[in-house]
Amino acid sequence: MARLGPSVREAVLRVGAGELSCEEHVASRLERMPRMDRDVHAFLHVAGEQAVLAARELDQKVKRGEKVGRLAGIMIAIKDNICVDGMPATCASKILEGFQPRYDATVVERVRREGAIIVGKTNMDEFAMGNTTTTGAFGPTRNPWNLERVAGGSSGGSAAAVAGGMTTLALGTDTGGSVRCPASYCSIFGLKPTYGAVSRFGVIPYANSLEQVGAFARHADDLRLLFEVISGHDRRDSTSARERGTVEPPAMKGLKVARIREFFGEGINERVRERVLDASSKLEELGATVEEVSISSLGYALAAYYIVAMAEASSNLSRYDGVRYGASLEKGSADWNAAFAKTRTDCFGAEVKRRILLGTFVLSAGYYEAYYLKAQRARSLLRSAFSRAFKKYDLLLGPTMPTLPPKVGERMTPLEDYLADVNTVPANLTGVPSVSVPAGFADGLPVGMQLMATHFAEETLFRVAGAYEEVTA
Amino acid sequence: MSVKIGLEIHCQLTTLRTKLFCPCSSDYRDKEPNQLVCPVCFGVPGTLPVLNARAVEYAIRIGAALNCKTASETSFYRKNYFYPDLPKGFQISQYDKAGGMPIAYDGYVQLERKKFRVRRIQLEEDPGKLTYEGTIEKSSYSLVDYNRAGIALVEIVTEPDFESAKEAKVFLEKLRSTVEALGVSDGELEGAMRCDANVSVDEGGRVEIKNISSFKEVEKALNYEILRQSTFTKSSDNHVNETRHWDERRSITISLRLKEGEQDYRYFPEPDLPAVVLSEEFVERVRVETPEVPEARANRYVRDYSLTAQVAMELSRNAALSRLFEETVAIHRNGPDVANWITGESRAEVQKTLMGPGRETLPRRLAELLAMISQGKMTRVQAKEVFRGMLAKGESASSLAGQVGGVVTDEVVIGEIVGRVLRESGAEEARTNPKAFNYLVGQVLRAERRADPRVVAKLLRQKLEPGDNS
Amino acid sequence: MTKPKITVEQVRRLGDLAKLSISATDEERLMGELSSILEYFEVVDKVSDDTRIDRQTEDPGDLRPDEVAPSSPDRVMNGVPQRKGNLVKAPRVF
Repeated sequence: MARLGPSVREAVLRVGAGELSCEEHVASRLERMPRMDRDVHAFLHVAGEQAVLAARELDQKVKRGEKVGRLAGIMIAIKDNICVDGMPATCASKILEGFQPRYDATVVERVRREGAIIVGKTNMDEFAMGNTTTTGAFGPTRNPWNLERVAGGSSGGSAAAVAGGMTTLALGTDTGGSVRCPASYCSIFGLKPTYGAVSRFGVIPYANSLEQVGAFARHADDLRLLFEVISGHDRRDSTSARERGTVEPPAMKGLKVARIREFFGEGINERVRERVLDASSKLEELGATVEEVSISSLGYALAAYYIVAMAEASSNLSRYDGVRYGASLEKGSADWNAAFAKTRTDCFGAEVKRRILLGTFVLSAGYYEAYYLKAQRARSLLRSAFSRAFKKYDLLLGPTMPTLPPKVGERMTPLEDYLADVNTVPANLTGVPSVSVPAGFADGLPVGMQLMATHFAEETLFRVAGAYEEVTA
Repeated sequence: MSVKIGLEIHCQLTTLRTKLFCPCSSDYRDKEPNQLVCPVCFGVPGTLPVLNARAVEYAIRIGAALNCKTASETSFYRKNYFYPDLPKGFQISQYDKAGGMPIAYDGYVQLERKKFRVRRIQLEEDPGKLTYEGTIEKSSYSLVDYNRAGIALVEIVTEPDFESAKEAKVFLEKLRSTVEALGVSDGELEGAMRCDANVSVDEGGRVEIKNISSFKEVEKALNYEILRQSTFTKSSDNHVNETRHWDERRSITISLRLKEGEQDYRYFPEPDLPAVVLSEEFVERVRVETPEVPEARANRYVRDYSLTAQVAMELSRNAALSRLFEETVAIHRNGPDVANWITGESRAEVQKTLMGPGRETLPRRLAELLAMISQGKMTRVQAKEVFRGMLAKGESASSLAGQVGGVVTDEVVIGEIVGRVLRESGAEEARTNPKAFNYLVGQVLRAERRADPRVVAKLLRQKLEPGDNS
Repeated sequence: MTKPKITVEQVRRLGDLAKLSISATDEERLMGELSSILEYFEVVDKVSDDTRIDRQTEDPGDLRPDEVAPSSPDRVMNGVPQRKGNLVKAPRVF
């Protein structure tokens, strides 16, 4: 596993100085990719030719003595629900088979502009609905640390590609933990930014009010760099935040951290708890004061999250009717009701259908108030509880996932599956930024520590994650 | 028989340049299919809506003209339903329940002595357009043109305050002239204004009529529906709420026989669009920039310039004439005088001039002409001639005045003509009847168009006095 | 088991609304699955209706000036599964 290695900034300096031929580097890594990815299955599409071409252009730029971007020559993988001009974007769904967007998502535009080399599109749970990357139509992704285990999800392909050394950086999306969960299971750094910090333009939505594009890296500083590149206001996304001045983050010494009591309670794996408590002690050694806080409205979080996410998803997924893009079934002369239903029934997977039905239900007449509106009220309660907590503490801490990565194919009921998201969804409901930091191993499987900060305080997260990385790596 | 009719009007904002949520041109009429489309209005996954600022302003204009309150904050909702012409499987619209707030609400329109209440005014996007090969019934598939998809619509919903089809029609015509005067829509364009109606007769079931293509059809459809429902008054069918379709060809309404509760639009807040704050300053700026509707303008003319209601309305209905009037009256401060010249016998020529290069200078030139008349430098008869020359040639009143000669004030010269006219026409009636008197003045002026009418009148009066036999 | 939160008729109706066909065997299974999830969701019942729903974002959205940008039919029409000339082919509606 490529836990260590040079930082992205170092590599970019070498590229800029012409010490390294990008083309050779990229070509040789791409050549090894099929073998490396045979068992893991992180990629749905490898952009071999385009990547080599982009690397060659970069080399020529360096030769001409031109300035290179902040990610020059760095390989980056893109989750398959983020649009890259001229590459497929299936969301791991049969319903988008054949769909090739002819535009770049804003985040893709930004990494390209900084010289990053896009190596391909990564596997995911179908339409990002899951935490295992096993629900997609094109087979599961496996954990590079242990091929019997899942890589986590829904951005499992991106996490596994970074952890497996197939790419340096990767982008994913995090609607309820979809970056942090696989980052935790794959022992890398994963960031879910503040809601609005990163443009969603070009991201095929699962639940618009909850999700953000997130980043994967092997070092905290790489995560910071990638965040700096992809964040910023975008006029094409009305929910994108205006630029804010940077606030000097608190120093490590005297940093006020609170462990969330609810995250260490019922349902947590004992070995996971030990590892995360160890990590929390490490922060104390680094000069932080660690207390415990209880946030009772967290009891609503998981239900509120699933109600809102499913409601939005049921509407987002209505556009897939087989008329304008993607799957086209032979419909004969069926009327439109039957034809739409045939396409959708044949091409959506079981979990997607379940969430569409539930989302339809919670919005339907007579149930909207009891489910959707109540969930939004619960969300507001949680938001105020979080803002109270962040008046007192710089960081909130807990395990990213309550358990170790399950086995591929392990039978669970849908509800049991949802329960694994209990610690990650609060950041999405409240919009605060959150990272998952590798916190060692239990029974040979990775454990992740989750840190949350107040809105737009990503820098605090990077500092603490970086300090922790330095003393533990 | 008691009839209650409510209207739901969809009005395209045809004067906008772009669609509601993307910068594609909104000029979709007579274009090749699917040329005015982009990933946003085609509903391509991953794209996001960005609201057209001017659409918001135009909706506020309509709201203000219909005496509505303007929301301080307005939000968008998704209306979820499937149809092949709907790119996203939902329509971005607004909603007035569950915390939703349309742009404008609680207004009314006054027609004669009756007020018709307007419940709400909101923005939404138009779907695409379906066509068929052959007929809709026989075609084995449909064909979609998404050029219209995303065009900005304002939906205007009234309370059920109309008691006849006629009232509804008058309201709709008034609405059309209002949106035209506001500069937000050309209601004459095909499909620019569409109307659904709901009708209930004698407290019976509420029947929605959809698919009424033009305002002409509205009256027909409503009259048909009122007749149909009133024949059911005694039967049980009368209490069914249903949706019916206006079949224009056969001039009847047909039940759509929807399954019970089939339409459930599952409205919820559009998560891709934050609420729009309509600050007082913003709304005020929109109001200032809003063209006056004809009624308001006419009232102002009557109040400020002492015009008669009829002349005021005649001017107000035409934006160019109104502008000419206001610019002229700013120089020559005699409202009725200015208005009479503009709306008088040369009106057609005036309107023609207002479309040409002479438009800019016309107010100044007309004011000069009117000043010359009041200063006695020109008679009205002469002035009419000068005015026609001015309009045709674009010259000033003073430069044309020479061509019609000066004003004759010589009492000997005029006295001769007055004597001749009196001999020819007789004087008896003119002594008591002002009309006959004016006729005589006219006869004198006909004989000498340069004669000063004031002198003519003076001499005539002298000669008509009893005892004067000269 | 407690009373299901959703009936087979409701499952069928959700399928109609969402344009998903549900087979007779799936109806029963879904009724069970959806019911247990909905039962879990009912925890939000305890939230008071007096709780105000906040805005999700602090910043107002950007409004767009009414200025035309060229359309891009090529970027969308090339991916249409079935076309007839410039028109998009869709199932019949009658």
